[in-house]
Amino acid sequence: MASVIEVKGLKKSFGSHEVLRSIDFATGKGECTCIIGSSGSGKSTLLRCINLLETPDGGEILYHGEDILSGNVNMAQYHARVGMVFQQFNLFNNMSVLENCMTGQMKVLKRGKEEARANAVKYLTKVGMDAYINAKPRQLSGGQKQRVAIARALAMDPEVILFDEPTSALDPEMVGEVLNVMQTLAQEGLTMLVVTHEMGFARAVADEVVFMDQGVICEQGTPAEVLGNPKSERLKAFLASML
Amino acid sequence: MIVQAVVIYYGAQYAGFYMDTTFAAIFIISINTGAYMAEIVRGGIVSVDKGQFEAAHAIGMTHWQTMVNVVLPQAIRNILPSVGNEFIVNIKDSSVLNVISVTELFFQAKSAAGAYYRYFEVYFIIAVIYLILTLSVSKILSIIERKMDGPENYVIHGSQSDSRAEIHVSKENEEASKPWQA
Repeated sequence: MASVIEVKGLKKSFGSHEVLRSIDFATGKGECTCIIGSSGSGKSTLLRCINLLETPDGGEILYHGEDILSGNVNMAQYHARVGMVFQQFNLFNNMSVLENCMTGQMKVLKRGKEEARANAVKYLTKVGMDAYINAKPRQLSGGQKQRVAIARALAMDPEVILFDEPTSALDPEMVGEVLNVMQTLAQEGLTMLVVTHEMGFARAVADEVVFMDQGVICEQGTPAEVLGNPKSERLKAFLASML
Repeated sequence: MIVQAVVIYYGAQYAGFYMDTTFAAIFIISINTGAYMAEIVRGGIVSVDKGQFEAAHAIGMTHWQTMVNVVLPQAIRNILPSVGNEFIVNIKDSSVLNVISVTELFFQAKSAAGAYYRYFEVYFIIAVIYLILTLSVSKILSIIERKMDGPENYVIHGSQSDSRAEIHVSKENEEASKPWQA
């Protein structure tokens, strides 16, 4: 299967600290890949590199076989095709829920107002937030904000969505509502790359699980292989500590 | 600002350039306030959460689009109190411009008081005028602030339950819909 996003030998350092040391992996169309690992293992940095919020120091990131670091790819279009959901939601505070979902479509995809609105309402309905279109982000709970953030990413009709610890800032009840939404998206065949600490979610939803440690990929495979039958001592210790 | 006023106004005269006093007054206040204001605006932009930039870039906005649509509206809201302060300081500081014989409020008061030998009455009146000026500015700014904040409450469209949603987050069938909690 042709991979949508392929990462080859990706390297990233902050000063003398090597956060990513040669990462190789690929994710195919419609796959949900969960990246797990302890804090500081480079999971978030990997995701931020793929979305070019950080500039990698070496390696290649291929999107449909094209190297996005080469400078030949239109960045705005790439960003529109690869959405991102953040740990801290990062909704635009000066806009209402509806405007949050419309602005990207209108400014980046140059859609008309009516079309953008219809599309935004469609996805807000999907995540169960259509009743709140006039609310400002500060008036919403964490789980609601994250659902709006997912709708904002979906409204761009992306091919891939990157989730950077989408549930880490939420209380347990809200975690459930956000994971529900994400599970549905995975079942509908959206390509997803999820950095998460929710092992249950990874087990139930992921097609592939990647375990990272100290800037390298330790193990990868199906959830059953990686979570059910860990090979390395590091992963065994990590999984034991999760329980 | 007194020094600035004198240096600029009489300096320009040395250079052979005679400014109208009103023009000089506006020019000097602009320069003086501009420096403070630039720092306030910069502070406002820096104070906007970095995540807002990232989120805007992540949906493909250019730097310019991010600034205009996301960052500046928030920055402007954040700096409004300081800007209001600066305006009020401006109104009151305009009185020092009498050193270059701008006929502003304080200068007029001094002349009137001198002409009639009535100091308290004249200065009391201009105190009230200054008060009215500064109060109106702060009132206008608080109206703008409230306008920018938008309504306290919001209207919920349709029913509060999410029965129309494709993805249910209700308490019912919770067990079935959360396999990861098993």
